[in-house]
Amino acid sequence: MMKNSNFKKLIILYCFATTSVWAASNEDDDLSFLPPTVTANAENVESETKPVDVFKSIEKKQFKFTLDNTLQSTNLKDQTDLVFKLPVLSSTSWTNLTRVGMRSETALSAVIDLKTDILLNAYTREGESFNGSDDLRLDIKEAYLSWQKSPTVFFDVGRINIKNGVATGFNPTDYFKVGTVLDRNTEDVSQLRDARLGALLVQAQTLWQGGSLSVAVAPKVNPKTNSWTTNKEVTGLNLHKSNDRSRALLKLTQEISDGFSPELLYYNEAGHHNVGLNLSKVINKKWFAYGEWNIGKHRNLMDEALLDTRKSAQLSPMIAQTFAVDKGKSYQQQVAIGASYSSESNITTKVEYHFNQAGLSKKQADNWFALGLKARNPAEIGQLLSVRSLAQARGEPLGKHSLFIRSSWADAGMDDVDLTGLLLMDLNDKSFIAQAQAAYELNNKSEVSLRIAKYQGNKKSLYGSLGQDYTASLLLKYDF
Amino acid sequence: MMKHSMKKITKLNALSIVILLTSLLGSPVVNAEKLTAIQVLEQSDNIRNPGVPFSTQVTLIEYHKGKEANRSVIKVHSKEQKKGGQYRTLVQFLRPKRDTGKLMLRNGNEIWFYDPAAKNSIRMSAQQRLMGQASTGDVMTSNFALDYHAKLMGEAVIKDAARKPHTTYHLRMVAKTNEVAYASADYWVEKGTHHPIKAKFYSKSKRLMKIAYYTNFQHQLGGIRPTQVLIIDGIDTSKVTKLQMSHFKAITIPEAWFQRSYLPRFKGR
Repeated sequence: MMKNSNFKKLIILYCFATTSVWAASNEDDDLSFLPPTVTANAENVESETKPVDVFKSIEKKQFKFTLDNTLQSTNLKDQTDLVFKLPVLSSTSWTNLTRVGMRSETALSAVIDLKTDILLNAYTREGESFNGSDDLRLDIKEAYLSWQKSPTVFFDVGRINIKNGVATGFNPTDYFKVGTVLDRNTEDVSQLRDARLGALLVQAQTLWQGGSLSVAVAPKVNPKTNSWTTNKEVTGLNLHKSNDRSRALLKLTQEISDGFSPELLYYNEAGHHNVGLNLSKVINKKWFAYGEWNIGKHRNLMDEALLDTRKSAQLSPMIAQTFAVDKGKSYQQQVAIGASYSSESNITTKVEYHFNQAGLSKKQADNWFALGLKARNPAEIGQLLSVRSLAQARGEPLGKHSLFIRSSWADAGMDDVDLTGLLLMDLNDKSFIAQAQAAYELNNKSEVSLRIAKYQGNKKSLYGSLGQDYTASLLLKYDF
Repeated sequence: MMKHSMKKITKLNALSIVILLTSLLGSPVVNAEKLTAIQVLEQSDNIRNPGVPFSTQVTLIEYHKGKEANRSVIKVHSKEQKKGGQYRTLVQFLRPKRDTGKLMLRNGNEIWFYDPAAKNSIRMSAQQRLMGQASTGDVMTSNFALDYHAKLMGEAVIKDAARKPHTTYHLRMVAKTNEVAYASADYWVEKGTHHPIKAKFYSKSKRLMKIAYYTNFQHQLGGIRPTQVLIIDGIDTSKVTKLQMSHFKAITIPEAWFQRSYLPRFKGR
């Protein structure tokens, strides 16, 4: 019995020993994955450091130049399929936009920096010859001085891009977005946010552990046409777009618990108060949730769009009969809530619900389309479509309830290829915009992309009533 | 632009690399006999976690089939949180030039990416920072003893990247929460010095994600520490990333830096 037990122990010990040896040798097999080029200096002993270039964090002058080109073709719907019939010359058209960008940061002293972001745009359109004064535009997106009074106190003055919000498809608290988008050649709001004009303003900010407070004040600039401050030739500053009203923003951020830092905003626009809130919270490794909310006193979109023509008594009688009363200003809420999920296969998807209380109600939309079918002249159609232009300029959904989904797949099946898809749906009439983009990084400096957007829905729906059927864009980008 | 920036994240995942860096710093610990698994892990964490806020420059070289495919440079600023002992990290992109000025911040489970061209910061999930070849940085989270349960599997003699054998403790680690970068890991720590020699990291589905070898031990910030990590992609083993750390510096980092609102102001130090 004893002998048998010892024998068993020997067998167990033998098995354990051989397993350990086998395991160790298996571990060393991983070394075969390291090619000699990689292990050239992998001596596991203290050695002289191989000289490595030192890159400065702060350089006195930093300039970055970019060149990009967007060629976009738009296929228009048949006029008979449209509620709002506007004269068009052909069913397809293309436009081309070439941009040269320069972003710079210059240290004027140890605590004062000058920052600029400038774009030169050149447009060409099908059937039109190039005309410098019409087709060239210089956009000074930003140009401001920044003074660091102490490591945690800052002052800025000049043209500055202030961006707020945690959502992706609609940002109720992104107050400075109104009318400042430079070119609307994509339906992806996160892309539109990247290219817009800053506002002329003064800003102060103080920070402390886990929190910050900032104040920004932007004056109204007299909208004199054809002036250097507005739209004079190529170099007009377009301040009538970014500073068309006086504005003030107060923003407080404070960390309440680990990873949870709510942002409370107070915004005053020409005397009218708004209060906003931004929240985001990690749920787990793959999920995080976020929400953005604003309440402020406004007219609904339809009344706001018709306000000027109503005041000037130029509103079409037909429209005035249906939209007879301006309901005036009342507190309106806007909400964007969503969640983000990232899979192990590099796909990140965001799903959001958007609520715009000022947007068109079902009844308003039905009346809008009914008037569109009756409208006989471009002036009436123009007045009706002004509500859509207003929503677009404000960066708001035209309808009250919308669904937004955006999915991006990095290194989609092969290195350097990224795919992005988005869907924006009006939940009342189920019409939608779908956009897909494939981007390929040619090298460290250049990228080529193809983007296709489709507008779908019946002719009496918010997105189905758009004039375009689909657009296709080819984009090239080069970083110097 | 933001999409383009996100692409950079997936390619470089500098934050992860920073975390890796922080994990490489520390001072040698005297060996104790009959250590438990968690003690070995803590000793190793002590090696990896410096006692002072610091910055270091990291060069990431990506190889595909032995040939250099991509190279980038980042600067890492890191500071230990008084409460909890985890690290807050700010990563500044230095090269290639098109990425200069981009930032990534990690404060607890809060991760933000900032692009100066877009003047906008966007939130990221922990999973997003794992994407891409160079996310290999995540093979070493900043404080293993806080993030993982550990079990001592025994001692083993394994070779380092220079094919030199070491007698090591073999630890098996299982993540304490879902927020930890990898669900489990095997970790080999040299007996006596507690130098990390090798690690293998697995997903929740037990898929091998990364293999890491620690090399080039040098005197830095008051101790002997590895200054180079070779990381093999577990899914495509022809992809290897080399992380070279240099220009270590003890610095003062104000607490106010570690928040989203500070990112547009950040200049580095």
